[in-house]
Amino acid sequence: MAVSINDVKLPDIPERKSLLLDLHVKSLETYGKDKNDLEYVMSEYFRMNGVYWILTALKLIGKEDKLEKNEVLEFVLSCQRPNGGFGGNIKNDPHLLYTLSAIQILAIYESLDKIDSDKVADYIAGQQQEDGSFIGDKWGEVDTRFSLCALASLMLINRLERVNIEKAVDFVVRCMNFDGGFGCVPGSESHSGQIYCCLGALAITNRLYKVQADVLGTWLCERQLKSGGLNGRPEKLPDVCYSWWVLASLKIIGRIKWIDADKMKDYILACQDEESGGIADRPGDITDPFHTLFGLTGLSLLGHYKGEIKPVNPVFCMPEEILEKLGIKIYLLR
Amino acid sequence: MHGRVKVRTSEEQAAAKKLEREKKIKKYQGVTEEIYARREAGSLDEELLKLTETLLAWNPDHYTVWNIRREVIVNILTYSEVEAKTELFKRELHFLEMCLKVNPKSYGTFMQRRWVMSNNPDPDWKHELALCDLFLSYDERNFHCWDYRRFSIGKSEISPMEELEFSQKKIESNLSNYSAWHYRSKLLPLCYPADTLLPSVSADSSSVQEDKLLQEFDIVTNAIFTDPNDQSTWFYQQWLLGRAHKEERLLFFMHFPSNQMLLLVFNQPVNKDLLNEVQVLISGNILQLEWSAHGSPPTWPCSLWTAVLISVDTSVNLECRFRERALNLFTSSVCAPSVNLEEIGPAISLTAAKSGVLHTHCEAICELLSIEPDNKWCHLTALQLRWAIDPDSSAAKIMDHFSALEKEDPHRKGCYQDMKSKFLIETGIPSFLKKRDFSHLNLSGLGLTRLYHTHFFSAVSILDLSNNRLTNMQGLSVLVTCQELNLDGNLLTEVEEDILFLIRLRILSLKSNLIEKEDSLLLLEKIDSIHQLNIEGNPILKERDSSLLINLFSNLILNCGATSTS
Repeated sequence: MAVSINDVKLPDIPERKSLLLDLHVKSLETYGKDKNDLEYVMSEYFRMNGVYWILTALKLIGKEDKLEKNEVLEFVLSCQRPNGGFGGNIKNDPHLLYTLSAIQILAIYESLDKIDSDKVADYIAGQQQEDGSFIGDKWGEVDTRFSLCALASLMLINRLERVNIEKAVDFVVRCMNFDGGFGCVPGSESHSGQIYCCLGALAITNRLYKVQADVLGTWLCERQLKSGGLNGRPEKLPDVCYSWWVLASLKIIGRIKWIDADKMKDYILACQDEESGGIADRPGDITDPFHTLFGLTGLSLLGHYKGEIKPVNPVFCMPEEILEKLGIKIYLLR
Repeated sequence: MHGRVKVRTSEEQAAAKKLEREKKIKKYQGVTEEIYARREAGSLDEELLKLTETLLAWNPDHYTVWNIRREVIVNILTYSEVEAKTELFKRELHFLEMCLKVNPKSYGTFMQRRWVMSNNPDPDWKHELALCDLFLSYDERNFHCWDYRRFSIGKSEISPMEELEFSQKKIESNLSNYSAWHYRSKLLPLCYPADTLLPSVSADSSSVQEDKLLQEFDIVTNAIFTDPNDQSTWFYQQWLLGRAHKEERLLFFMHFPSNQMLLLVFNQPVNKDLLNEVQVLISGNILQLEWSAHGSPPTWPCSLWTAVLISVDTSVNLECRFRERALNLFTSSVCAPSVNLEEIGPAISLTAAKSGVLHTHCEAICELLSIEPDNKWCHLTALQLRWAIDPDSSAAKIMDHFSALEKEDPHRKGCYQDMKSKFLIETGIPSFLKKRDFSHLNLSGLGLTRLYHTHFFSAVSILDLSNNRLTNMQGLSVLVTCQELNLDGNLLTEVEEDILFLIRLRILSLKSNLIEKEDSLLLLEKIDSIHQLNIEGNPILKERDSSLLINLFSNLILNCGATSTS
């Protein structure tokens, strides 16, 4: 019995593709302008994430002026709820997922002074549970994604001390698995997205020494498939968004050289839409801002296109220059 | 947007599609707006329940609409009779089952199911487990479903042992069911906890009884023979081989009178708390010392600890006690205990039983390798076993495995090169320490890409790391007694802060590296002891007028190729 390897096939002799930045800018700035886009309408409830993806992508390539800053800020502030948390859109409930995006947007615009940081910190600290975990909102879903959202948000507004850091770390460490990876809750299987979140949480709390870097690094570099693309778990298909979750994780633990950077670049470039711009999960699929951002950040982490894409911070997924301005310094493994 | 293929359509098709889409959008927006409006008006009734149903069937990840739905359910429950309540829960569970059929991987749907079952006065957990079995039969790797299954198990009276059997069945039906192997690693410590007082991380295999652990090797060997291309078994084996906790030991005790410094080197990074167990005596009197970590980021565990010891006569007797051991310093400033080799060796403790089983396992894998000489996973498995069983006498074979891996799996060359570096350094440590001559150590030309275990070399005076492939200075900060460091012919792009911890460094050679940035070289100004620096053959010299550099380092011998100064 042989395992069928899940992968996509790129042309045998890959054509040398180039990075179509101008087209990507165009696709990012026009995203959502077509009122007849059903996908866009259906993603209305997480618009805050969408704005963060678009703004970060544009900022990384120095085209943030394509968005109307004041309009964006007005939108972000209008999504803040009386309890201090942010919703995914104007009529949506507060949740840690959107609170982080809102703070990231404000940070990129150097407008964190527009919010009452203590009030936001009250909301975030209120989501921490007795076991150190964080619930996403008052309905009680627990997930290590929310640990990262809470800790990253607090770090950006300089209020990390508002939560019990020891407990927050303990919870994340309880999610560690036999392969060195992390899952959603203690007992859950390792998944690259959760690994990124847990490493981010440990990096922010200065506890990266708790990670088994070589064991985890081995698992992470096995995510690269023959096509050059990365998957999120064993036996799964490659997807451009893992060029963020996996590469950022490898970067955080100092093992980014464990994958083939040129093959990765070929894969990301093959996922570009050469007509209307943007980057998709796999070659030939429909593009969106989420994959466009993570394609660009993946290239940035690998040091490709240094002059065109700015360095991205592997923990916050924001331009390094923004974190430098905020005076945030994180120890990574080397 | 995942996995949506972009398709080309004719103009006619496009027009028809557009019309259809417009209709859908109108309907979707209409329902959404009505839901928001009714919520604002406080009408949390059956009507709103139906509206949320329509929308969630369409978009099961719309968290606000799930929230609204929960508000409605909570409200209806406040005025319903018992029967109506039961009916409401039943209906909700049925609705959620329909949602799962449309999208079995929705966070929102599983979240709602947890909420409903947690509030259901009459929960039927058996039904939930059957539902999980059904959805795992559609997709055996659905992690939402596995998590929900574990949640349901936690609420039912099902033992970990029964679950271990369940995972066995899953593995038997498909050996590459990674989720099932993962589950096994969580269940074994619950079913067969090892009799140990050592604190262990929940993920660690040392928390499992040894005989049970050894039985697992049979399962793994079997699986590898059935499908040698499967990564699940390799990862599982790696876990079985384990990472045993080694007891903390003191390796070196040093005194640098001119720096007024005492220094301890442990066999592994330790927390500051451990220093409470250390006693330093001067002529029999206990000293009060404040220990600080040397070379690690603040608050990290560290293998080197220093303390200030002001003006001590060098002929005085210093003694350091840690647990059962005492190290004495007389005239020499460095004291190394006789070294116990088990401190360095493989990360597992090999009992006779364990090494017997591993031998058999290794022989089997090598047999398989003779049939499949290009199989990467076989090479990895054999390598790992040989490293664990007897790294010294199988060193040549292990190096062959490394070569095969770099050839068969070039994408992960970086990983194999780092692993090889670790192997080379690890196997070199015992003979180096046995020699008890720390004056010099030659690690040049080994192809090292990363430094491991360097704290074992912290008593070396002259270290040659030239002609390797090092890209950064990670691991160098522990070389406290190093006076001459040769890093020629590596791939260093900058001088990093690690170098500042080499307090006795006199000669540093960085010939033929990739150093570009001048500001990183400026760090070296902070090391008072340094008096000779060689930066020949670095890109920085191409861009900079070397006379500027010469001015910067006017107080030392600088060799930058064409011009040398003194």
